[in-house]
Amino acid sequence: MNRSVIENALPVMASTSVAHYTRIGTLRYFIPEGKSGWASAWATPVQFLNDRMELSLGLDVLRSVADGTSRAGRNAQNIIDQLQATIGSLETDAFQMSFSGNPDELGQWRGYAANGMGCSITTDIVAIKTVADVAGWVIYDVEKQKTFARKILAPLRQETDDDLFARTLIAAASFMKHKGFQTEMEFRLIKFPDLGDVKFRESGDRLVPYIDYLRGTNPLPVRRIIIGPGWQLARVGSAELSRHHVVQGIDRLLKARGLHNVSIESSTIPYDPK
Amino acid sequence: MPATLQEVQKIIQDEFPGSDVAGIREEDHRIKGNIIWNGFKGQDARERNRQVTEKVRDKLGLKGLNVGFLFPLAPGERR
Repeated sequence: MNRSVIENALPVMASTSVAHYTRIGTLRYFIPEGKSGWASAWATPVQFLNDRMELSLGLDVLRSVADGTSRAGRNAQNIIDQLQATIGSLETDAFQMSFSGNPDELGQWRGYAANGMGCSITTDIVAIKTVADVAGWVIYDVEKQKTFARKILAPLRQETDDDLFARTLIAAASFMKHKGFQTEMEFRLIKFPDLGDVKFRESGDRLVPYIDYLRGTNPLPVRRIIIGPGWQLARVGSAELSRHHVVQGIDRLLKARGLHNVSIESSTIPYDPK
Repeated sequence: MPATLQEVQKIIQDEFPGSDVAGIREEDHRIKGNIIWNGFKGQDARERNRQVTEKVRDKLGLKGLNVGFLFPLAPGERR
């Protein structure tokens, strides 16, 4: 897939770093023994996520701008209708990872970081783009989504490979979300892996495919870790803060992995989950 | 067992009488291709695909997990 078709049509923002929200315990998998950086990150196909309706929104936008009277437009409509009817296949599964341009945002603390008891881990955009097939900022505005969708469909006129056509549509659809998620300022990675790289984990008595985005790549730099507002560290004095067990645990992990220049900070948001 | 090419072609011809299924093929363990049928004339893509889902995929059920993209075309239309 030609990533530039999608990436050139996505919004440009000034940020050079992005954050991923997670549980604190996950840090030990992100930064495993023997690695001095972010060396492991599991990703699941969009189709297996709880918010898989997200994909439908993007596909609906693409379908709405496809010209049914042209051959390419009709192809797009057919593929989208059948993707919606079948939820795709392993060949078209888009494995995704989400980051945010805002490393300290209440909705994401609550939704993705153990209701504020987790952390956000910040890395460089330049580095994460190298591990994805497509990467960029999500579009929330309906009119901008339609403009984006038209830019995606135009070059697909030449595409004769159905799977490649479908992958491009799925990848593009992944960058459109409902405006209700706008505060997330999401930066998303999409990857269509070789089938041999797909692994499976158990989740809720189901099998869920996943890949490790960072397997076989250089570890990502870790710039900053923000501890979630649920820990109420904003109320703690600076001397006590540095001795706090949640800070100490993260600090020891970083030191044990040789990461001596990572900033550990606490959320500034006054949020008490209890 | 997943559906065979012949089973898929037969169900298509049963459900879309007179359809041309020569363009349906098996590739990388998936069955896919064009269904050319006169009855699709004048129907939009949504209606055509609704029929493909209802008359082919739903009928095949779990046997149809290996069925990929099926393009419903009227005679004379090209992909």
